[in-house]
Amino acid sequence: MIEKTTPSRILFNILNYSFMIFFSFVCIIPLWHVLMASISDPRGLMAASGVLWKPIGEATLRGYGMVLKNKSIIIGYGNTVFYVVFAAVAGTILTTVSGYLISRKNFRPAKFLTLFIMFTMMFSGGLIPTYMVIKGLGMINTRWAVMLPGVMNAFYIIMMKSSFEQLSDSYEESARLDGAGPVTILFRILLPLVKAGLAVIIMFTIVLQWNSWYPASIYLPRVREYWPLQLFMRELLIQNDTAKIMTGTDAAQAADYTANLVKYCVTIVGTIPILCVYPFAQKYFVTGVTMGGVKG
Amino acid sequence: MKKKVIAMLLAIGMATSLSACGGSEESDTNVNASTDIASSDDSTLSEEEAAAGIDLSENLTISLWQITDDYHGLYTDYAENPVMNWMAEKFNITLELQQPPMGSESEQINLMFGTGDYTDFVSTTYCGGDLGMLYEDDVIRDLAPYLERHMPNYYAYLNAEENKDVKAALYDDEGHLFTIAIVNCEEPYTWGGLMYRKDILETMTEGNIAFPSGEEEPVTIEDWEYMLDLMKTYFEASGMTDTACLILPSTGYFSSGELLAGFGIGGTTYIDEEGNVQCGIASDNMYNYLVKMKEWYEAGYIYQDFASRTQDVFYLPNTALTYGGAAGIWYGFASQLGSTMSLPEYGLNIQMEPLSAPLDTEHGITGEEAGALLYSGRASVNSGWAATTACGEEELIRMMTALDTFYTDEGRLIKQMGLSTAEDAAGNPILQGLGLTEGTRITGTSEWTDKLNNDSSIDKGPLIGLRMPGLSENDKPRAFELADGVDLNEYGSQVWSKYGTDRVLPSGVTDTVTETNYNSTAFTNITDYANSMIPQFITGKAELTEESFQAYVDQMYALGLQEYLDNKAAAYERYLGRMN
Amino acid sequence: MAGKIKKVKKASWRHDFLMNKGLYFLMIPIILYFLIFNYAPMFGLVIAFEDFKPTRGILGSNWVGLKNFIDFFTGPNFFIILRNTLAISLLGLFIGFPLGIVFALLLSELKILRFKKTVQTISYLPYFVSTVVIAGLIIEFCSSNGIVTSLLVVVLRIPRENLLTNPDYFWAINLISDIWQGLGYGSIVYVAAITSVSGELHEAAAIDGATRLRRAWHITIPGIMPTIVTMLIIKCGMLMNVGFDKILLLYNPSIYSTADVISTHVQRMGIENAQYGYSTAVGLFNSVVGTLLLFISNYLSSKFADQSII
Repeated sequence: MIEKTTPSRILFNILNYSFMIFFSFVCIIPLWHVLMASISDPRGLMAASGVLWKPIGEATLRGYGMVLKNKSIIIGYGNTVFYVVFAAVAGTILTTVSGYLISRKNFRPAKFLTLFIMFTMMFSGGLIPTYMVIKGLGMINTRWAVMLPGVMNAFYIIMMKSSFEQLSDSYEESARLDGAGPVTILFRILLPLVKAGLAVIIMFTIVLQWNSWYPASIYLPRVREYWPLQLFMRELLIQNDTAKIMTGTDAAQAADYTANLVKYCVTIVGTIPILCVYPFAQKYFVTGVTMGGVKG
Repeated sequence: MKKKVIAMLLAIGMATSLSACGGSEESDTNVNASTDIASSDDSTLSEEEAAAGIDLSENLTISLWQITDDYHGLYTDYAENPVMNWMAEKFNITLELQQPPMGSESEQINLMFGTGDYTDFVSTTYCGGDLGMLYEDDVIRDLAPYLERHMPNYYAYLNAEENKDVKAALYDDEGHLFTIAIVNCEEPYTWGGLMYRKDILETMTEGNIAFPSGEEEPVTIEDWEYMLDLMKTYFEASGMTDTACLILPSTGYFSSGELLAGFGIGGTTYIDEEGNVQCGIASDNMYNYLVKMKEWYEAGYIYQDFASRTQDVFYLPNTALTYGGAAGIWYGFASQLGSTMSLPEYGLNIQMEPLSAPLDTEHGITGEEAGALLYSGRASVNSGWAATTACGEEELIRMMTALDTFYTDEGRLIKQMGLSTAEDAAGNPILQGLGLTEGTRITGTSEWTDKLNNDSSIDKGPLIGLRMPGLSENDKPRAFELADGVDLNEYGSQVWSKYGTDRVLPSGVTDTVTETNYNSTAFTNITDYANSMIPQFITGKAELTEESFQAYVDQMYALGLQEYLDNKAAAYERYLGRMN
Repeated sequence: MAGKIKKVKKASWRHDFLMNKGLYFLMIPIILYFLIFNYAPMFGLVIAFEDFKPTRGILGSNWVGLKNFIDFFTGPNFFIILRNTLAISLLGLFIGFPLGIVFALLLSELKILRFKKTVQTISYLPYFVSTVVIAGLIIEFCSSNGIVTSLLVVVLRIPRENLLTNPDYFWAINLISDIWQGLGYGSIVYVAAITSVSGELHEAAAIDGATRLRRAWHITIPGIMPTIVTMLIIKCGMLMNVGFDKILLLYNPSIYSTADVISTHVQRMGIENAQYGYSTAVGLFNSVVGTLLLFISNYLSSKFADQSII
């Protein structure tokens, strides 16, 4: 791209870059604060207030020790990875197909389907009826209870729909002229063109699944070996609540205060892995997808 | 928040039970208790039946819904708890525990009820207040007919003259009993209350503390003002930016009545000396309280930002202030008393002393009118186990017989202090693993064994029957828990209950279903309004005059306060009726 | 010609089926899925009309008709919480929403790739930090001696007080913290959409002398219009669902008058009993209003922007 360097462009660039630097700084504060807190001296941490720029007192890994010595963490990680991969693969395929279906203008049921799907986004039966349905299907205390109900997300389907609609009609038209059926059109021609949209869906799905603990807490009460990471983390948080620290009936334990670090270590342990996902997906967002071969 | 409240109360109530369990029978936990398994409908003991023993040859599987903590990796299945284990082995029971994930207890129990798939027994902590309704819906069983025959110790205890309050708390108006409860032999320790930094006073007066009232500890409002003034000077000289002489919760008052007591108010809902139910924050004396607090706020004695503190369910003191040495008076916990919060290596020498309410002598309040404090009562239907309709006859009788053990003196010791050599502590893998083969207590006594007494790395919680029904006393402190030989829990409790606890609405006062429906809505509306006005009065955002105060009270009545109080009064009447 | 709706002559069913056989077959499992997992549980909405007790079940609980709704509408604070909910949502819509797009545009103007990637990653970090921590930081910043308070005292000459005790400030505090937490993550959708806009068009326009601003306005934005409209319409549908996690952590009784929203109100009401009937009724009310808003915004956008979801 040819860039004319006029003064206004330079000014704009300076402002833009400065703003971005400022914004990045502001955005990094919370995570940095959590990281610093997680390695702080716990007693000192209780006396601290404000944003932490560096750890309080002597840096210590005791909090991590407490979190990681839990064998459950490994189980949790394993399960979460499994659920995430399933959702990313199955969910994306299903979502994409659905989004494609309802984006086709020459498909008569499309409008009805759109309404059908959107309605589920707006209305929900609530905890008990959903539980009864899951129970009726015999999925309680099995992995399916966590994997199936959320695999298709109405919101993402709508997003895929708009991704498809952004593409020019000419693609489908010319493919049809060549005799291709709609399914072929989807997989052979249009799919590569919505890579960016796909990447978004995949990433959102991964993040959603990674952070999910509620369905497991409801549907998997008796099978701790199927629990995702976040549910274990949540238990750990509740067990080491500040109130518990202060009311510690065992004076010696209360004096230890390590439990105070737990809520910060839990955030780091439960979050860092997911943060590493984005850089991989990024390349789809940064490189433009040039469209060739279609004359307006 | 409710779950947190209940869990807290449960944990604290159990962990700090009071001593002097008076006059229990020395009845032996005799396995051959006289019940005949065949004729379970007949609740009178015949002599032949008395001689026969209960048949323990068949192993019964009994399921139980019970919350548990992850006891530091010792076990996650509560059935492995040494005391549970001991009971199960002795009575030939296989326990199947259903344990909800932490934080999801309410949902799990509602789901269990909603789908009709009950366990045999259920912990009543999360059942909601109204067990009567569960009974009507055919979810839990009435245990009253079985008590005399199958739980003689429990039955005898409930019917003893000195335990009337417990009986009234556990039976309902129709004579049903649903809960096999955790019962405190005496008033439980108060687990928290106001406390002040005595070291600041010592520093500022160089050891010559002279309260205006002439007492050794602060008693009157003037004493408090003397104290607050010293603290204020101290903090100003210290150079710390964020300090607080007195920390109030975000609502501006302690709903359990700590500060209010000094003004003759017992808390949000309490019983006055004539036995009427009153609402403290709408009472006349509340005006005096507000005036005084406003004065203190303007003088800089009260934490400037108190109104923005959220999540203060248990008045959790701002840890940055309290642990950072920047606070003078706050609502804390017994575990913070003494010098536990000190950091000598940083020159922070904190000495916490418990504090009772400041008496508003100017308005004639002496000790008698001073109100009540947070008090959980000796027993509650929400603290124990109930049997569901899914529980078979045999299972019910077996479990009741087993649990009856813990309503005797010996049983109480086992439940509260764990196994000793006599109970084959050496055989329990958990105790073995901790090196406690002799057990946690010395056989026949209520003394901890040496190892447990001195090894502070061992948490005794998982080793005793904390969550099991039975009698309980206030915890015996271990050697390292004493401060100069003083049990701080006991000491704190004495000071905090200085003015008595009989203004509290007893926990046995329960509402009917219609009352509950009205009360909960009305109460939320009323307290929402009051909680938004009181901080404004104190900080000066809203003008505080006799007229504006009256308008505030009138608004509370407009929101339904009178009917709420009438409901509570009726419930209290019913409770008194059951006491006889 | 992305985004233009062409009028398609409606083919007959038979013809449509023949043309789109594959789609019809694919449609079946999808419909089934939603029927089972979403529509079947909807029978539970009758709870809104019952005095529901879990032990009695859905069929066994007493029918009370519209009582739960009436209780909700005639509560002493109904208009206040409704107003607060709408105010907070609309602020988010009119301010937060465009900012997401603008941020995405600004990002796309960064030519140094490394820098752009880094900024993008950092921008959505706050989304992953738990609400509890963020709320804790905000309470700190807004306290009487907090950073933000001090800044505002100096710059705007406001009286020094705890910002979270003044009802007038709450909407702003909530909005800004929402933006802080959600801007980066929310802009991902637009960033992705922008990359799909034809690079050729930009080249051509640049050669013709169009400035960045004009190019953004005339090419990029129309290019991502379907995405924008989709997100906008969905957001309109979600107006009633103000997330209560953060508000619950930030608010206090002093500012209930502006901070109490429908979801926090239900949370407080539902504490004593498990008031399933009441909370389901409120949820139903939210859904109905949300759906109405959805249709309205959909209609409006099809009329004025020639775009719609339905």
